[in-house]
Amino acid sequence: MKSYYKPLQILLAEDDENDRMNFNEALAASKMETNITMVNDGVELMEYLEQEDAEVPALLFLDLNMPRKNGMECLLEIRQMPKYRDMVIAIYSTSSSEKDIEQTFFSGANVYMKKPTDFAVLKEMLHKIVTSVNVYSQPPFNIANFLLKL
Amino acid sequence: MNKVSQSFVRVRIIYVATTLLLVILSVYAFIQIKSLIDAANSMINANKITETLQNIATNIVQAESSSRGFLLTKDSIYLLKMTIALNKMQKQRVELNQLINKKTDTLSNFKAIDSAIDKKIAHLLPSSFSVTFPQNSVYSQNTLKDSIEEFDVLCESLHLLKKKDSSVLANNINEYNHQSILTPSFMIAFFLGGILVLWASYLKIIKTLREEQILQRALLLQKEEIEKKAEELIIINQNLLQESNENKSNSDSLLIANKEIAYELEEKEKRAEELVIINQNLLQESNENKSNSDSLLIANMEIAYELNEKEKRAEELIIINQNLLQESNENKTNSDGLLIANKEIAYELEEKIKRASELIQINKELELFAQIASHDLQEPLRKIQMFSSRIKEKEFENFSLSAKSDLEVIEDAAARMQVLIQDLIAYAQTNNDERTFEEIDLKVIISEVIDSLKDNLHAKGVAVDVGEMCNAYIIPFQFRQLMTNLISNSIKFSQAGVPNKITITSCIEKGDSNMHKKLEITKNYCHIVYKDYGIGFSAKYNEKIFEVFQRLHGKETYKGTGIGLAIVKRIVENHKGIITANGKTNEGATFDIYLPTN
Repeated sequence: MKSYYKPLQILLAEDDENDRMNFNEALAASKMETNITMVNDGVELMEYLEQEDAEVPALLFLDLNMPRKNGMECLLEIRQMPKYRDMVIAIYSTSSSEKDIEQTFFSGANVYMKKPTDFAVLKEMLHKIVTSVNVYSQPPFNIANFLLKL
Repeated sequence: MNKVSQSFVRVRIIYVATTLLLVILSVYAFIQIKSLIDAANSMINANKITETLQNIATNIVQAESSSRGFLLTKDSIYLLKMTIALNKMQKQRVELNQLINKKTDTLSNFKAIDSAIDKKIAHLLPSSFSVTFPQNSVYSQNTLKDSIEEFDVLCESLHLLKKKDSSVLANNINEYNHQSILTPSFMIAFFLGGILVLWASYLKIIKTLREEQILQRALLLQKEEIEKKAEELIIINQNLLQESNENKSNSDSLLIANKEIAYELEEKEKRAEELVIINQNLLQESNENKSNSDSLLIANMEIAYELNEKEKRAEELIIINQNLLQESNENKTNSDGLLIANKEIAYELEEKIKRASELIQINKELELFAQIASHDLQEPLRKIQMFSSRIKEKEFENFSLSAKSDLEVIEDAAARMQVLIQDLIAYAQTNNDERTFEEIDLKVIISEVIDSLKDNLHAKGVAVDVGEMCNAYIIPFQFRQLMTNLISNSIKFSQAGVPNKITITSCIEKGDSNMHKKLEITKNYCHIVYKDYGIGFSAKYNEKIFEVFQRLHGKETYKGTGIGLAIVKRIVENHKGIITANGKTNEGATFDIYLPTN
């Protein structure tokens, strides 16, 4: 019952400004109570997470292709940190290559979201993920369901 | 040979003739001598008859005179004398009778004489009676007279007989003389003839013997010549044997040389395989590198195709080389050709190695491209699409008609670009060898694929019939991609208004080179038969259909980039398998996939 009143803490690691803007707008359109924090690359992300008093976000949207430190490296490091072991990590990437999907799945990501080409789809996808956080955090984890489909 | 037998016949004829002649001669001589003896005997007989007749006549005269003396003297001594004479005469008569018996012609005369003698004796006997009755003395004058006449007749008969006998004797003597003159001359003539014939046969035999001698000499000469020829033949045979031995040793050394060549070839093949492995390792290492090139992919595919061609050519050359090896066992000259072929293979191998090193570089770049395409290349495109979708959502109502249409063109082009990039990424990534093989029930994977495509299948009314499936040793996500591409194709190429159907079966079977020349008979394969009843394609595209960007239809009819089946083929090749397509226009397509069981 508590979660209904507390806004959902969402962290977005994304280097592209346009994408951040689109993400923000699309999430806002979902009319969910959310509190969004954004970092510009992997290094910034890790610095943010390593803060002693950092609150554990309910959901991390992680871009794979980022300067300085890419999403894959960040994913591996985060899953080493006990504090963030149960945090739901959604991969948010342009790529939908088998290789990336497989690697991120086995490295502990919960869901793989391919950046859509249509704004309406983006809104829909974000809505689906945000409303199903609890589903993604729970096992069983199945690679067949790993890639988000509408 | 004819001559010899002819001369034999002649000699035989001569000898038979000679024998006959001698027999005739002997018989004739015997007859002649016999007639001579006969003539002599009859002469002696005639003389004896004459002599006996003479004696008879003498004794008759004696008896006559004695009887007359008695008559005159009446002295009995005369009677005794007469009786003695008559007795002598009787003996001589018997003797004559015996002599004359041998001669019939004088018998009638002799009988007349005999009767005359009997009459005479009868006349003489009364005088003897008178001895006993001397007082009778009736000895008349008539009686005496008769007695004298009878005596004369007798003398006359005797004389006739004598005469006749002497004429016979004269005849006999004549004949005897005649015979005694002719016989020797005949004998001499015959003997001379016999000697002549003998001489003739002797000469003939000598001649034949000489001919035989000549023939024998000729035979001897021929025999010597044959022996000489046989010796020559033996020498020639020995030379031939030597030559063939040399040939054999040559061919043996050739065989060894060929084996060495074959061994070297194998080594080279191994080295090539090692290079391929190194190549693959290098490919893995190259995953992290980055750089840009649009044309690389096409170039790579061309080179890969060329490499395939080179491999095919190398295999063909290996087969040719093997044939040459076989031939060289018999012929030295062929081995020169083999050496040339070998050099060609070596050259081809060098070329292949060059191509392989080029391919390593290109594959590295391809991997980089896949990375770039996945992220950097898609990024700007996605933004174009994203913002055009935003414009469409927010501002579309304010647009003029032409602006609306332009925006749609932009969206279409961007969408096509996206599909193209995604397919290219998929194609580039199927080259990756990092994936691990697993033994998986194909039915499970196929069910997953069908499930993921169920909306499309349902929308187009395509039924999928999965039959008996076996386990296969595969890279799961790649095989999933393969089935997805095949089923997507079948859905896309359904015939309008005709419900399509897909059947999939698989089983483990031995490699059959009749099905495909690259299948090895010693290996087991998982043979998957994928069949649909869509629009199909002409059998002439059976090979071409697997080429990248190969499209059989216009973009307006069927969407697509022409990469789907290229990916399918690449996946099958990643599994070291073989895929063949078999199309029939308006009837459907069949794909045979052979995956090695391990």
